[in-house]
Amino acid sequence: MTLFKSILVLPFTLGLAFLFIILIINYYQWFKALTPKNKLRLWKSLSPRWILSSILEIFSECLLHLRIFHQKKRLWYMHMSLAFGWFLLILAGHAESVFATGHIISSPWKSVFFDYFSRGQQEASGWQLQMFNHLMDLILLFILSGLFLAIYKRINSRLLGLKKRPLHNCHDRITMSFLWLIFPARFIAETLNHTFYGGGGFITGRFGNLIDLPDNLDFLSDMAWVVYSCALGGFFFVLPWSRYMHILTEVPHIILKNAHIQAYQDKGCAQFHLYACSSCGICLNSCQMTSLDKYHGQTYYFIRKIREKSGACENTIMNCLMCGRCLNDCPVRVDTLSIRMNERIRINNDLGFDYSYLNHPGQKASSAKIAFFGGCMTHLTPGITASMKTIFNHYGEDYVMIDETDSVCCGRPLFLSGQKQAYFEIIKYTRERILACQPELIITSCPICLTTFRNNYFFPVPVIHHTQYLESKLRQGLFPHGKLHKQTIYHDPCELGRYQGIYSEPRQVLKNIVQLQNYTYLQNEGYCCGGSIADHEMDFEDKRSIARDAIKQLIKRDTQLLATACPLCKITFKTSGIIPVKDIAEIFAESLSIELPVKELTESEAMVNN
Amino acid sequence: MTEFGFSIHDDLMIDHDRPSPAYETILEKVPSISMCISCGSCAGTCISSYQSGSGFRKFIMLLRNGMYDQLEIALEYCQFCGKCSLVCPRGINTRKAILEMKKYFNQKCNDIV
Repeated sequence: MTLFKSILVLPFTLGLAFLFIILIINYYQWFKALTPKNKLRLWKSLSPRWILSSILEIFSECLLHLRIFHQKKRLWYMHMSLAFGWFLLILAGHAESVFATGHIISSPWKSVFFDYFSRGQQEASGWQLQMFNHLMDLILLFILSGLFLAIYKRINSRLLGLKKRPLHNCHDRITMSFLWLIFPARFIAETLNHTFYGGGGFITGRFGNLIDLPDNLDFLSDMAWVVYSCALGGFFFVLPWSRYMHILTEVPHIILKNAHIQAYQDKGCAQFHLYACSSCGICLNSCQMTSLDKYHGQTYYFIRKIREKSGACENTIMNCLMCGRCLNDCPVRVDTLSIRMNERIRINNDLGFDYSYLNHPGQKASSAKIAFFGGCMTHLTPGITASMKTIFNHYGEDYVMIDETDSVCCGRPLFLSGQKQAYFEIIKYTRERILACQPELIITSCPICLTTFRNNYFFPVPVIHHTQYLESKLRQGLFPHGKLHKQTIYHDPCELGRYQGIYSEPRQVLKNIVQLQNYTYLQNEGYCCGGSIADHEMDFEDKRSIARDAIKQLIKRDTQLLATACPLCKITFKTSGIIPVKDIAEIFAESLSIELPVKELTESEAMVNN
Repeated sequence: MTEFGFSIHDDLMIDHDRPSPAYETILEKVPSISMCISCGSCAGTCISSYQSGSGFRKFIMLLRNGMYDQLEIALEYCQFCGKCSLVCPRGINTRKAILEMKKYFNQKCNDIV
């Protein structure tokens, strides 16, 4: 190898070697930081099925980005053309090198700079290599079309489906500049190569022939190859500290995800999640807080800050509704909620607490088959408790209202603020209090309590939401007499929908008692009311503004009533004052009291008699 | 001088001129606490006030008057449910204020240790 050739491959080779060393060190440290339980889970999950599903997901998500395809088609083309195109370029380049040299394993620079090394020999190599040239040109064109879209996205991101464009930090911009330089540099290098030495595919060859330069300027071609090598090397050097770390980290991230290893309270797994994030900005557009410019707690900013040396500030950590919309839309499935919870626990877990006043050994609860737990928020909407009482009495249930006169919290607000120790302390008291009723079924009207009960209470009896109870009554054929003739829209509360997956039951109930306008639904697409207990930063007015936006998105022109299944959502929506809001229990209780008109009553009695 | 039959303990006397460094710090982070009118809606709805006697109004009163020992104990009773923030007529971000107060005193304890 001549001195110039050595200089040419040096930036690329050094960059690649540096990148691999950094990656090996990082991945080793992160794998080491996995909890022993998760390490064991990883080894246990090793099976052909797991390997196959991981490979398929790596192909479909890392290269083809199919999740983006289902959301935004133009944005998908941009990402896919760059990722899949580059992959094909590497693959085809290697295949070309193997075909020409006959060696399957060769130095990486030999395939990357193949056209440089095979100058002047291509015309004599036959039609097969010419086909490779055409193929490489086609792939390069494919990548350059994606690159054009990426550049255009900086000017007008709306065309690609992003209302709010992510503003990257300085380091990411430098890395992006190197990336954007790689493909035009290769195009120019190949074109000039063909100008002076002939050959080339249907684009580079033609462009090469068009450029008419004297032979003594052939050093321009060499320079273009050096620029290409420097662009590649520079990109590899800065990649480990940029958002482009996702290109390689998505692979171990998918492997861990398929082994059901979660980022919650696991530093190692959290690191893989953090660096698998591509900062694509889709989450920024999913977040309802984005409409308010003064808050920057969105997942995009949170992850960007946490990756920086200084880390995320407390305001960013605590400024999130935790509605899960970003998690649902994330094409990489970065578990941002768990990472945020880890941070909240880190900063707030050691705060003091004393709940010994909740210990009342003398207090005796009456036992009943059904224990109804309203929760703190239902206390502020007593209509729901009254309605549930009416419903229980109507169906002749043996029930007890656990927190009717005085209240105790389920603990979720403590947990969401990061006070994990205090949360588990509260659980002890609340669990004991509920189980003192010796219930066979626990019903709650608050989805926040439902999530907590199902996640951490480990009750020996089933816990259901009141909409599930009402739906079970309808399934038994116990329909209410009447129907409210009101055009109603149902709002999916975040904790009930995205957290618990309860979508159809509330709709089944509403279908029978009102004129429901949104019986069909898109799973996980619901809007947050804005009143979430997870956020600690937003002002009351801003929460109301989010509630207003959500209602405007939800309701139709002729909607008369907004139905929800969460007391907190009800309170928040009510403050906006746009439309009457009722809980499903209230509507159900109302429909129970409707007297049937005489004609219908006679008909129904006749049906019963027959 | 009229005798009312009771006396005011100096420590419990409300004196808004008395400097309270903790109040100043919390006010910087949660400016809305200055809007508190001590209406008592928060204490009325508080789920722990009945059993523990605490409540957001009390926290603000103790904070303003620099009665930190009592405040530290009262803060530990808070269950953080956020009902106070929902009923506050002045729209005070009570949960953030309580969290900041807890952090302030926790930091103080750590510094002493």
